[in-house]
Amino acid sequence: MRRFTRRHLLVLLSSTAAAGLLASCAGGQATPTSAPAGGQATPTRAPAASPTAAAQASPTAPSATPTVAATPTRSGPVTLKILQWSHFVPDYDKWFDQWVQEWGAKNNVQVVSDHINYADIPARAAAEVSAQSGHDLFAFGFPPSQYETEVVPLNDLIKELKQEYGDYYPLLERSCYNPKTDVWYSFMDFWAADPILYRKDLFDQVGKTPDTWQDILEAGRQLKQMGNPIGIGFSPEIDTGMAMRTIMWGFGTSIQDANGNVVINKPETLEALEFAKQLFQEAETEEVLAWDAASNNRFLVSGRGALILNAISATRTAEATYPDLAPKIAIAKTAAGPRDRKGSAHWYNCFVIWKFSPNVDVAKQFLKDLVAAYQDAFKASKFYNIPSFPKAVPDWQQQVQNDPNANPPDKYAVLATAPDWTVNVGWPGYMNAAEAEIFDRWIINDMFTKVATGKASPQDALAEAERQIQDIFKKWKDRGLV
Amino acid sequence: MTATADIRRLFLRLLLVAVLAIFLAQALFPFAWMAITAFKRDSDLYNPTNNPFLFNEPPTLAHFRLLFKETKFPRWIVNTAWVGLATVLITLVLALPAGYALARLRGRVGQNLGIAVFLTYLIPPTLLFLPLSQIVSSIGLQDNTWSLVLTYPSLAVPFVSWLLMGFFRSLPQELEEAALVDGATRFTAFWRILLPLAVPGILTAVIFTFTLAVNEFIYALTFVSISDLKTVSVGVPTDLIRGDVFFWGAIMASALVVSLPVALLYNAFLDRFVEGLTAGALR
Repeated sequence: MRRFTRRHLLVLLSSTAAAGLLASCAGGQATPTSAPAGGQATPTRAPAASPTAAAQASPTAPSATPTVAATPTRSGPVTLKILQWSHFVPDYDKWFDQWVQEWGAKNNVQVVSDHINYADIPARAAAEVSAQSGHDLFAFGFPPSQYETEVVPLNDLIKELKQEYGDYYPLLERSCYNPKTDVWYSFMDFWAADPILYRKDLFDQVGKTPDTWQDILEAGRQLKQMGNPIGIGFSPEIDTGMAMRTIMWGFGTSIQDANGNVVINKPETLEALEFAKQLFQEAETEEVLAWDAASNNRFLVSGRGALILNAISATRTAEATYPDLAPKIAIAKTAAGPRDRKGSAHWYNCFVIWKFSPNVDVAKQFLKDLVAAYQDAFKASKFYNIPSFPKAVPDWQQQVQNDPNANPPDKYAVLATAPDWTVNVGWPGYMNAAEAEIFDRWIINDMFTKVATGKASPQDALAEAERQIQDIFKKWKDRGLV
Repeated sequence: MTATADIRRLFLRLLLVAVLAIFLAQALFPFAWMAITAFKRDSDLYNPTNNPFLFNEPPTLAHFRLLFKETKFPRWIVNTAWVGLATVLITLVLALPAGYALARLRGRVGQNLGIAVFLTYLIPPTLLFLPLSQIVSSIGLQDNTWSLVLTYPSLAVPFVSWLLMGFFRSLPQELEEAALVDGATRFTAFWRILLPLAVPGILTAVIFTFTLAVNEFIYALTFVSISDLKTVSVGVPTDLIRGDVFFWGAIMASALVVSLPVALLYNAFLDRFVEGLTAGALR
């Protein structure tokens, strides 16, 4: 009997791989830039299961070309390229990709809809600006103030939308408009609230509700001893950045004032730092020092965490994968501090149109029509996407009162109050390039973490943070953007 | 005396086995974890009271179904294979002559050139992707896998040239000289005499280059955004990490599918791979 040697194995594997590769290539496309996969087995771009009007198959939409809708005109098709994050609700992306096909078919526009992981958005944006080519419409998850000089002003678009839908939530203006230059540099079709998600069963055991930061601290002391600590990050990552600002606002302090002057150096900041130190040391464990953007979700659904600050993605995940745990998780408004109750939005879906785009008018029309379709978008996102123009989904606050998939059905009712307590990064001023850089460099996160871990006194940490913040503000003021 | 020696030998052998077992467990753990997670039901995987190392519920193929039917994973595998193989080919075409020339250049010039070539390998891609994106765009290769095929060799060629230089140095120059005396040209001597002897080094270069192309992320992210053209390294995090929600089962299934062929390839060439890496080490 012949020995089956490594060489035989290699020949077998190579032949199989080559055959597979050839077979796959045979089904592929020669010019994939404008064509979908040859296999077509791509239900991510298939029609959404959602029974929304916009998700119905359009008779004019090509059913077998999920990413590209092509309807050539006499002068050749206009191609609109859109890039945005992979939404945490896969059904929303399905709805969106289907809807853009239909929109493309109606408007004689070839639409390419691409998605990337949210963490990769900054690198991709930097590359597109550097190359001066890429997508016409680019969606950030955070107001892209630093790119104001690279994008097309959208003042006319906002004016038209305002005429059609009336007032927008102040969060839109404060996240996408620069009063210094009078430029709307982006358009946020939706934002996501960042409420408190907590284990009601555990809080009931200690007789508390997380209405104020003091409540959270007092309950957290007991819950930690029960083995269910609080899960608010003290780490260089996005959720920590938002949570620490939320604490600051609750204690009546902020980085800048309403006019863009740096005002962080005040007793209220020291008070906030002292509180955060107590919270970390008495109600949390050291794992929050290594938090990443998904840690709080994991922490809550692991069954150990008693409370986190996050968008409703965490509860939706629990509903899908932890049916026993999901009913125990409740949602509350952002916590009130001694002076205020304000919390950052969790996601700012800010579209920009790059200056290099050859399709500015088409892109603006697309955004207008997207707002018009927001009834369906809101449903497809499972209440994640709160519209910037409330009249685009006039009954959204009623819809969240009753979710048949949630247990209890009014679990998401508190979202209806989110416009009252959700503010922009940079509040009480406008979002601007300096605030964006401070956020990106985790300066506030570092300040809180140093104090919480005892590596610096509140006074020293604040002084160091203020020095950096002043430098950053000066830089952007010199550039005329703040 | 003999008994003591036997005990000593047994002790050393047990120590060796223990050390090997530790390394083996460390090396195999990620694969084992990957395999277990890939076949675990979500209800089993996400139940914190379950033993994470065991199947507490019957295994499932659901994650593979999601991967192959609800994402463009098969297309990404084809793209990755095409980009990887083309990168390997271009790298070998450039690095084989470069490595040979550097090996045969005597004196300080050859040595310094070798070091200079290697130093270029140390420049991180995160510094290069912005200027490279300008070049890619200016030659019209944005959203085209050729952008990856043409830029990946810039990462692989320096190291592979340096690797092959060491390997060629380990081959006796007398072999080439004998061929030259017999009337062969320099190219013939290189092609017919040296290249067959350099197979272990070439295999090492192939495996290194292919895995580099498969793993590379930042160029693949910034040069290609169309879903149908993505490679596995970008496609998987795009479709299976949504916001702050991770589809762990499908992510592990994709890692398993991609890593198995590479692991088998390594195993098939293990001896030659080690030979290629260590060649020239004692000269």
